[in-house]
Amino acid sequence: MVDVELGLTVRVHLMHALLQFIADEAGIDLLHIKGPALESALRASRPTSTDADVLVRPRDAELFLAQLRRHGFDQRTTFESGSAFEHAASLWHDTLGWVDAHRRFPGIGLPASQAFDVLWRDRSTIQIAHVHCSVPPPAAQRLILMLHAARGDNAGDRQRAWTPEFQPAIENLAVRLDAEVALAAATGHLDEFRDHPEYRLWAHFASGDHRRLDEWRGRIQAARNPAEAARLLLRALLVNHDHLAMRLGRQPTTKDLALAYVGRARTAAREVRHALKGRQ
Amino acid sequence: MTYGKPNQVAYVVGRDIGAADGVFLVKMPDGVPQALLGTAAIIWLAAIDGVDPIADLVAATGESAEVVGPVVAEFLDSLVKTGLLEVHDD
Repeated sequence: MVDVELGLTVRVHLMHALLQFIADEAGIDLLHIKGPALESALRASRPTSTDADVLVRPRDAELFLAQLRRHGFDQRTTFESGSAFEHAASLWHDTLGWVDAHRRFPGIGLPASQAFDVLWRDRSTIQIAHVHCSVPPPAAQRLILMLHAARGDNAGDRQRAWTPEFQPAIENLAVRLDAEVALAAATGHLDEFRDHPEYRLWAHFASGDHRRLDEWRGRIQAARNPAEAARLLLRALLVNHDHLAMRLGRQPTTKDLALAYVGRARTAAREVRHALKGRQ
Repeated sequence: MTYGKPNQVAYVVGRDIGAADGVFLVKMPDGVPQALLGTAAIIWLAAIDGVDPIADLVAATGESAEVVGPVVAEFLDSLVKTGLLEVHDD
């Protein structure tokens, strides 16, 4: 046996298997998404995944994170601090690398537990690293790639996923999952949803303009109720402690946090000035 | 006596997934990933396929069973001890 540096592809495959093993031990339902969990047609000529992505049954999401920590994973972000969508937590494993544990997927409006049920009902099983893993049905794999593409520049994924023979099934699924707006953003038909509360958010991503002010405005506008809008507004002003720790490679000090807060306030002010200038 | 893959072991054959040559495996949930390269990979894969690894290696190399037998047996024993292989009593 040789102690060697494992390549990225090997690590991601073994990581998926390990995640499934840990989920099975705890009786947690898990769907493997992206990377080696994708159908071969979707994997072809796609860049190698740098992490293992899984979608966990939402009610068991915190339990799953606890199980991972128990087995030596270092949780680097919580769901709340992981992203503006609060959809995934990041964890690090010393030999197998990164995991993105999703409790929901941005762009899907149906409540997370119901959305998981829809995907779980039609799942199939594949082997990753010779371990049985559940994956979403083919149309769902494509929809997930499209929703991901709606948040960034993933033309390759769009091309592979949005093929004529799958378009009707993807659109049907998007309706069932209340994901039509994000899908429209990915397919270039967002204007059909101009009056929808989520329009501004997806228009922000589709524009490729990554100023945070517009993103937060869009998210606040898309909030389902005033309480959620107020919570988002407050979060927009706070420094993300976990992300700062990841960027610094250590726990931030009080001074780091203060500097980051000032930086965030300056960025916001700059963006406000830019927005005002755009209106003149 | 035959061998098999323990349920806790995940593995990939590097060539099958466009990675480096060899077999890469880990005993879940807390094992350290290992790489089996060259002959070591051939022996492990033969063992989990239920093939007699010593006979397989003799056929592949042309060496005599007297020469390769003890070395392979020792290697198989170490794999069993580390939980990367299990013994099936026939």
